[in-house]
Amino acid sequence: MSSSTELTEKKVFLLKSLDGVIFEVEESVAVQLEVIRELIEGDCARPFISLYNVTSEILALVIEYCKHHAETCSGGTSATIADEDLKTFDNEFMNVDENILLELCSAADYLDIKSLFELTCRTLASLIKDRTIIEVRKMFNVENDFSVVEEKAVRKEFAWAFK
Amino acid sequence: MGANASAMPGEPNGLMRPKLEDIPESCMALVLSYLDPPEIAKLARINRAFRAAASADFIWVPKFPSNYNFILSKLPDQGLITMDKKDIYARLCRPNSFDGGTKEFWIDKTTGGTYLSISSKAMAITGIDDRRYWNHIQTYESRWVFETSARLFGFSHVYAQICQKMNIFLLFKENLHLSEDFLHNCFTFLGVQIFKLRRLYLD
Repeated sequence: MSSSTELTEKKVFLLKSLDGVIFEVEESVAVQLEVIRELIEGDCARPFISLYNVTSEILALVIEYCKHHAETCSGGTSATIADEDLKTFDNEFMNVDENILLELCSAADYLDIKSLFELTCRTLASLIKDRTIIEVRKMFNVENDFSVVEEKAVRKEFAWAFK
Repeated sequence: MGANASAMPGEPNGLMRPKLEDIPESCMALVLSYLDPPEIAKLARINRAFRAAASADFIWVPKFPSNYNFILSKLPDQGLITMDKKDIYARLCRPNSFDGGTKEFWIDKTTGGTYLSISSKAMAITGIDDRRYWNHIQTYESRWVFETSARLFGFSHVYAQICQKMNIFLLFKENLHLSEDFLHNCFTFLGVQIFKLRRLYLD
């Protein structure tokens, strides 16, 4: 079974998500995931690559992203048009629910896709901007874990910004 | 061992919903780096993880003016250099006086734009840089509280405040000809090139 070497010719790799869904991706797409590129180079990518931290929902999005970027970059269009195109795509792509965005961000970090990681971080930043602390805590479901003393200390530490 | 994960069919809902705090600190810090300093300072109050992320030097370095090493070298307090970048930033947001207290420098906390305020005592005027012609009169307006009149030439009001990035404005009333050396020094300080200065100055 494991020697399904026919696949090698087409240079297709199989990625398996946390919930067991298998995705077939071409090499040009797979190598954008730095983690996977390393596995491929180390010849550890057969029969499939298990990604324990990424659900199928997110992995599908990640693959869509990498596919689009791979196609645009190799499409032979001029750099400026490709840039424009990617920008539009990225904007559209980031138009997702906050939870998905968080998951994309941690997936991009885990899979080591620099451009996607930066894109998600930038988007998160623009979502956080102008919200109050309480809103941000709620939005991301995090709690205030400061002790009273620490809280005072942080306020003091950054007091200059609020004068 | 290897049996751990793969076949697990289970509960995709509720499983592994990341919260912001599950995200590594490097990511949080990168998110913060896209925000301006007061925002970063605000978000440091969210929780411990954010506070740690907000203290990362790499967030703050790009917020400094490009010539900030030069600026630091000018300031009398050389202990600054060893401080955390975020604390240096905080320090630079306050007026820092130098050159014997005749000039003050600070940065705008939001934009990182640089400001230089110069006491008339530090000004040198081409041709009439003879202090006997200067008369210092206090006004309400600025911290420097000087109105300078060079009696001989009838200049009534000299006041300079220069800032970079947001705007460059020079308020030199009545065509005052400040010496080039003086202006050159000011503008080196602000990281503004001299040709810009000349145009502004002549307008």
